[in-house]
Amino acid sequence: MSEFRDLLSRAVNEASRLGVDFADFRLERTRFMLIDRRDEATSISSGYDYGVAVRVFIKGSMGFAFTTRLTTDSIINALRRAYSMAKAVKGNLPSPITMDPAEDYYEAPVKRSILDVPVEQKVKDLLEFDKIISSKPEVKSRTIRYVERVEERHYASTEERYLSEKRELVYVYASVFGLREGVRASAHIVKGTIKGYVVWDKYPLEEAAKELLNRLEVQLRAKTPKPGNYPVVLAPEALGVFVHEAFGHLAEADLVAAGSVLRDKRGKQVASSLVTIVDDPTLDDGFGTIKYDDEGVRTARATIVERGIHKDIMTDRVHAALFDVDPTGNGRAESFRYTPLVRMRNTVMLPGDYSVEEIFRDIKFGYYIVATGGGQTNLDGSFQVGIEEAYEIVNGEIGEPVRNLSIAGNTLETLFNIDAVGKDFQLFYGRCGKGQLVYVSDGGPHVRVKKMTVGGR
Amino acid sequence: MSRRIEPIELAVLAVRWAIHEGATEAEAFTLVERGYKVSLRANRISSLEVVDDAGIGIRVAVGKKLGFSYVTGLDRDAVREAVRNAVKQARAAPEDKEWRGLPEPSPSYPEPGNMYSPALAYMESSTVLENAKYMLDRALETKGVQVVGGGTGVYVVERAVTNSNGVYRVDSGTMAFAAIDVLIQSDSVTTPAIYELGSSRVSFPSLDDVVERAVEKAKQCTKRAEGVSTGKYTVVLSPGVLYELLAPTVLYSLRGDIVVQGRSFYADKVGQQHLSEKITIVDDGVLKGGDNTWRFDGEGVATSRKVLVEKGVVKGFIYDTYWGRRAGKESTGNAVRAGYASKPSPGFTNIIVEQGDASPDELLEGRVLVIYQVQGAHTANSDTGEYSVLANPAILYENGEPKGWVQGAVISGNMYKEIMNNVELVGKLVEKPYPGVYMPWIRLSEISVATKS
Repeated sequence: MSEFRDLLSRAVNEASRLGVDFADFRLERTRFMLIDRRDEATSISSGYDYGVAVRVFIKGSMGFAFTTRLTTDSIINALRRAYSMAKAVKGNLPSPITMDPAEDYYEAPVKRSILDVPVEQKVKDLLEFDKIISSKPEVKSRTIRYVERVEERHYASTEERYLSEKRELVYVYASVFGLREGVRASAHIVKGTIKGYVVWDKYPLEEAAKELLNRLEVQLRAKTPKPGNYPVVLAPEALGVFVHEAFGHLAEADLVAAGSVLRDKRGKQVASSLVTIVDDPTLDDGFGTIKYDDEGVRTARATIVERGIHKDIMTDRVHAALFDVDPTGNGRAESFRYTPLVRMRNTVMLPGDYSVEEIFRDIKFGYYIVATGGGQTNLDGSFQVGIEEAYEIVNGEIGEPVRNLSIAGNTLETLFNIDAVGKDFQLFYGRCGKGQLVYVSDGGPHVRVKKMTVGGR
Repeated sequence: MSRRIEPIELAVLAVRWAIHEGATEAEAFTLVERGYKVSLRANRISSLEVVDDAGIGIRVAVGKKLGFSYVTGLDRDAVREAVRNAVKQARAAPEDKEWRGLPEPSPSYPEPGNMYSPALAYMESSTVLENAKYMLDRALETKGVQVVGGGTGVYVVERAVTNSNGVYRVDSGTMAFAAIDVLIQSDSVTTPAIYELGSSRVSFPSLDDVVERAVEKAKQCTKRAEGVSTGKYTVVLSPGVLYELLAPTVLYSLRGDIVVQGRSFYADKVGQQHLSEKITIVDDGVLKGGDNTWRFDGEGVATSRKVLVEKGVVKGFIYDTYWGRRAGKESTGNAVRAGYASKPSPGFTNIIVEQGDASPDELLEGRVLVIYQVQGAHTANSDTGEYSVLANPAILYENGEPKGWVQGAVISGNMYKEIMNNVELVGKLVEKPYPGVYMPWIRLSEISVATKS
């Protein structure tokens, strides 16, 4: 049972006494550590972030306040401030859907808790990784960040839902800058896990270093592509970014309500029949693997596209009410300082029937896109994904590396142009910004797109 | 004693505790932020928020070993624990041979002016709400407009920093913003969502201005321009696009830490002309009323104005104390913190590309693509300057007249090369697309554009 049960229950009682339509409280504590290495300089930072967020819904308005003090008085004070904000105006927000009372405490299982491993060991591992990558003469500069978080979230609402969830998260980012014969290049990798301090078991140091160095080597040798429209094969890492950035955002209920191209598309074909895309909070070891969201909703898989047909959108409580659909548990907030928004969790394309070889076989000339530097979408359905590792495809074979390109286009057109989906599958780790940063995963198999706009010099 | 302790007093205590725990040097930075924020989402007021945040960040050195720890709130016991953590971590860290100590107090501190307004500091939440409502209603007057997002807010910020070398500074300031994100939807077209923002330290920015700028741009996208094929074009970049493309490339390379790391494109080019002679770039920490103007930076060093690029000639870089000393330079007062939870590192204050002399007519002469926004500027490669982004929207202009939206135009190139060789004109008009960012419109020749046709 959560040590904060009494504190939260007093706050809930006070909210009920005030006469709100609905109110909820999020008490959060996050222990954070960062080991930061920039070339030869290492520094260690830590933080202890805690506070309580309060939301109050009254007659179509939502008031929000938070406090950084974990006492009954300050929580009640925040409640009163949120209450008076909500009362100040008669709004037109739909009432959030409500649920049955519930009580739960869930701790995501870890193999080895990060709290059981001394900081000296973590520094040692990072320095060993750094030693491998710095040994290459073309590597002129390195930046490595190891981030760990122990997240505790305690939720309480006027529905008498008391839900606590705890998990550990590790995130490693490494970037290198290389210079050889006047050619400049850079590359990066991101690794993650929520299984404790197992990141270097999951990605052995030598392999991760090799992957990063290979990415740099490819960039140093690469030529620039010709801009135009070509067949493209997306590897799982690049596909993951596409599925998240180009498509996933368009299926977030608040953006659907705001006029994204998926509005009024439910039940209609929005992609090739080979395409199934889900946002799945139950995947093993994903950054978006959570039991409850930040609105106390039990998370459920959202099947956004099933064999080309648009089915679910991702919702929070308010938008589930607005669209009259079941809640999916996509309400997430960066911290107690923010109100939850509709956010993704683990967004992936499900595998199909093609072997990876078959996917390449019939391409005379095209591009194979492996890794990206991220991407961005707009509600009109246009997307851009910047590419970090890519190759030419010549007569079904992977050819010369290319650099400085992006893929862009219309997301739905692109999804219709997918004509082969691989059997393979991989999951990747990152953070997504929508005014607030949250930890997410994305991924999928290899896929082939008949035609895509490739920008390059 | 029930008196609540002042942030600077707690900071002083934290420094003493750190020395007591065995630190050879210590610094504490406190930030208190209060205000109101109203958010718009999908044509509605989605939330009314009270902001009341406070915390402390403690940086310590044990010899040449460094640690940093932060904690939310200003609770004595929690701060004491954070201090212990910082010292403990410093002991566990490898030595940083380059460490040469925390800064000394600056000989004098500037008085830039227009950083604080009692009217903003004591503004009622109802005013912030009315302003948001006004923007929403104003935007929805235009047929087909959808308000995707945006909002209004007002903040009072109090910063304090102290260290074991005698730095002891307190400053406070105010800030108001108004932002809107709109698109226009009709039977035949969904325009891109257009984002516009206004901000000010001393008054509420003009709401009409913010809404009109956004709606006007969206309107230009309701008509499509056909027949723009892949090729080289003269483009006119909006102040926001200029900033977004410079930030990961040219501005990245003007950071002292990047120079020391050997990653800056300009590291060995000081005194040489490596940008167009039409380009002058200034970082001005003492700009009167500037969004990021403070009397001292994130480690208590006096802020200042620096010309980083003068008529295309690279003049210098921005430094905090640590990276400045590594480069054999003084801090330029550019230690920036992203709140109390972050260590200081070199960052820009108010970043300015100075105005040129071109009129709007001159900028738009002939057949040009005017690019109001880009998607994916953050994917530009900082080390090489290469970028490849979606111009959304790009509007085709012929002889000063908008002819419609060119859908799916990808522009790509190398910012380090183009800012040197392709600048045709820099506009007279300077705008502020983001807080603390002051940029003109700019016209570039021979930019590679890929389109669907």
